[in-house]
Amino acid sequence: RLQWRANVRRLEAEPIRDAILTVSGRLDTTMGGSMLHVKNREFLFNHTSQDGTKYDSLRRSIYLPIVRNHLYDVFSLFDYADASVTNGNRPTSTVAPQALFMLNSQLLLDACKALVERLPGGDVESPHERIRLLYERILGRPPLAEEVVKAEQFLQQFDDTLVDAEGVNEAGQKLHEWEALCQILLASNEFIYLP
Amino acid sequence: MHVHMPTRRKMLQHTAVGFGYLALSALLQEQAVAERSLLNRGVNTPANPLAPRQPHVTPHAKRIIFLFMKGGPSQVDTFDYKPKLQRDHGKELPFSKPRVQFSDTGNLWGSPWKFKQYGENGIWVSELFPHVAECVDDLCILNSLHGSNAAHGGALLKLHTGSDNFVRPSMGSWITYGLGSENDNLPGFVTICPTLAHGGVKNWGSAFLPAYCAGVPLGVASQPSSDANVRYISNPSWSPSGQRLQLDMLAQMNRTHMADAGDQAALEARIHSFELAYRMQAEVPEVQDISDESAATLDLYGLNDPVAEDFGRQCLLARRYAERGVRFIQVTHSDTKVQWDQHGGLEQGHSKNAREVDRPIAGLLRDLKARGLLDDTLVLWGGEFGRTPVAQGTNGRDHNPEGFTMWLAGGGVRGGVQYGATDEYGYFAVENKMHIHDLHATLLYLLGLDHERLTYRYAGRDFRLTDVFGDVHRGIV
Repeated sequence: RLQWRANVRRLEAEPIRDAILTVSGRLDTTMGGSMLHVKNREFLFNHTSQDGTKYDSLRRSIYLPIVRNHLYDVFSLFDYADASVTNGNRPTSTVAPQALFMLNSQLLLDACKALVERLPGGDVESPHERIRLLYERILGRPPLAEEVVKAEQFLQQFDDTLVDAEGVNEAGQKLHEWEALCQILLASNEFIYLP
Repeated sequence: MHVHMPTRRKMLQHTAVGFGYLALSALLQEQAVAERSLLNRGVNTPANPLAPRQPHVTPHAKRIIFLFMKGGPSQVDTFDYKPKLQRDHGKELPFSKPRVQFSDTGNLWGSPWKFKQYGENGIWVSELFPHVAECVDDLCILNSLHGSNAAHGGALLKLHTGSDNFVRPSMGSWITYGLGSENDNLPGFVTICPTLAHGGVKNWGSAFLPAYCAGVPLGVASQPSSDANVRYISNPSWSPSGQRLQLDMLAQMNRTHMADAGDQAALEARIHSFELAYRMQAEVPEVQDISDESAATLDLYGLNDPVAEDFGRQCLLARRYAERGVRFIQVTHSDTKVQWDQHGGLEQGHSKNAREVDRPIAGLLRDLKARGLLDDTLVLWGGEFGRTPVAQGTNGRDHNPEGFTMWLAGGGVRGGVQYGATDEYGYFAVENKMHIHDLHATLLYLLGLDHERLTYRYAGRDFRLTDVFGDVHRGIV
């Protein structure tokens, strides 16, 4: 009864990363073990600003190292709790650097590539079918008729911007505009806010 | 045939009936209004929380450039000449050392460097800073700083956030919160090549203040300043026109979603954040690209000198961000070794460090002055503490938070002045003592902010940068 007026809730940092990896099929579901490959005192204890921690694993976010002085930047971007205090309160912020992450980060771009690669071959399925599959995979629902039209328009227009890029062949271009479309769906409010 | 599956939200919207929900909806409406008013403090809106805000009183300065010398430069070897220290070299300190010290220290050790007098008022500066010394008529040298923490971690946090044991917003965040920014397309607080040590991200974080107040780091201390850039600022695959198409479609999608989800401030703010990101993508690379600077300017900052080049670029970037309206720009001098923290090898270490920063700093001051920016730009130089006039080991000095030197330039402060003093050996601050809290209060005052009125309600009380401390030292204006 209360929900239709309730405030929307944004996903926290870890589910955002996990969701992006899951829908693109890149999530490594291995469980257990440690991701801390740097010796104890080498986590920024000394004066240097060298951070030996690696965050390129594809495992669930819960396994990523948490270094208080230099939190994984994707986590701090999406309001991970402060690791130095004992309460787990997290604000929900909305800032431009988050948008920059959605637009330009390798995590997003790799996810889009993977999503498009997993689509059935372009010459077998119609664009409508592919758009429907993408919507269902990313947003969990079929697209409305007008959304399909808009998506097709986008694909066409984006393709035009790619024509000017040098050294990109036909097949490569075709995949690119689909990747760009995936990115929009992943960056949308609908993906990141709980209904 | 596609069926549009309704969300739970939509279903409830269409089926909710009864008087109960009318009352509740009134309550929720109030909450939404309160939420909006949080965003709409003053003139800022979800579209632009960074819109400039009026300070409390007439400001002397509109922005700060903080040149942070990590590790703690020694005052008796730089800007706090102590002839008695030279004379009593080797003797025991005649008074008690502080109750809490970082390490064991020995006897008095005169400065290995010579001091000369400069400027109209004959201020003594050591030979470590020949270039900055020429600018002494613009400097207000604060010789009576003191802090409460003798270790780097606590001292950095104290200097940057006002607290060495709690998580608090950084100076730059408070200032951005109080004043907004003069440039829609850039963050209000930028930190260039920050150190990750001793507090790391907390030194530019916003803690409980709104996230737009947090500092945006450019690069990191362990990498050359030529690599410094805002994270995720450019797309390796798409062109700006392609991204524009993406953003347009994204905005459409999000607006449709908002129509279903209800008019929520957070959703609208997110739509705007993408627009700001797009503008940042255009503006930041332009600021970072120093190829439009004249050869004379590059030389002024020391970019032709391989030793000074890295820090020189940082200072040049600082000026470029300053002239575009960024409120708080921090430039950190911190290599991957020990920076200014010479517990041993003082002569070698301080010589190297000074060589790297002297010319760029003087260049920055001269350049700001030439462009008419020095009048309303406050430049702060210093470290988290100073060093002891007594020796540590055979050739080092230990941490000294009891008395140390920082200096200010521009932003309405009196130039060619030494404010406050330490004792005859340069150990303890004695005259016009300025605690870190006092420094913060004074910086805010120079920016037109009353440190007691710039507060933020969190967890039931009003917090401020100076907590419950801080006196403004108006004598420096």
